[in-house]
Amino acid sequence: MYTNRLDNIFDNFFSDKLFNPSCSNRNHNQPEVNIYQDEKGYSLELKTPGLSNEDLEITIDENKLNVSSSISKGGFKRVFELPEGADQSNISAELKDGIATVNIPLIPKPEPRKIKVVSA
Amino acid sequence: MSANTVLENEKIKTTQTELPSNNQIVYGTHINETEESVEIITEVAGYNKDTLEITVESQELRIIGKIPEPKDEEDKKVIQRRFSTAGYSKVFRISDKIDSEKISAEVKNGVLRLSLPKVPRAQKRQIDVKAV
Repeated sequence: MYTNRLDNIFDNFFSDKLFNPSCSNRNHNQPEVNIYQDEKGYSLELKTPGLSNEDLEITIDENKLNVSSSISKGGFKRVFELPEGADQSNISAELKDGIATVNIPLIPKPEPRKIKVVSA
Repeated sequence: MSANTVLENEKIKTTQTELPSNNQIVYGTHINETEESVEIITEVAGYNKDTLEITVESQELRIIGKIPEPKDEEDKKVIQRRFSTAGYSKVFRISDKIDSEKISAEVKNGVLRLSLPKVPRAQKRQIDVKAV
C-alpha cells in the first residue's frame, strides 16, 4: 500500500511498521497518523473518529509503542518503534474529538558537570 | 440514491445500507434514508460542538468546521502528515421532503450524526362530491 511504503522511509528514524503483513493489505481501518518532532520529543496523532477512551489501548513493550483497538468492527493495531532517547516512562496520551495524541518526551540530556580534581 | 432526497457535493463512500455503529471508526460520510427520515453520519475529526457550525438555507445544509486555534507549531518539525484538521466544509442539498425546522445534530468523538426528519405525508382523504 502506498501509505505503508511511505511510512517505511522513516524506518531508521521513527518507524511505523505493521507486524502483520496481512494487515497492510486491508488497511482501510488503519488510522492515519501524523508525526511531529520538537526539541522536547515526539508527538503522534492518530485519527480515530468514533472511538472513545475505552476503545483504545496503548502499550509499550520492548521499545515499541502499540496502539490498538479491539472493537468488533474495524479493529486495528499499529506498532511504532520508539526513537532513541525516548523517555518511555513518561509517555502520555489523550483522546479528543476523534484524534488520539501520544506524547513521547525525550530523556533530557544531563547538564554538563564539572569534576573536581582532588590531590591524591 | 434517489435524486430528490439528499445529495452531497462529495463522493459518498458507502451507500445507504448500513450506518456505522456507535463504537467503530467512522471514515467518510454515510447516509441512510427511511420512510420517516434521512440519517447522515460523517467524520469530523478534530471538531466539536463549539467549532462546528451547521446551517440550513435555501435547501442547503452546510457544515462548516471553524479552523481551530493555531497550535504552537512553529518549532514543530513535521515527520509525516497524513491528515489535516485545518478547516472543514461540506454541503448537502436537501429536498423539500425534509422538514428543515426539525433537523438535529449531535457530535461525539469526532463523529457528527445528523437527523433529517421528513415532512409527514398527507393522509389520504376522501372528498365528498356534492350534487349541485
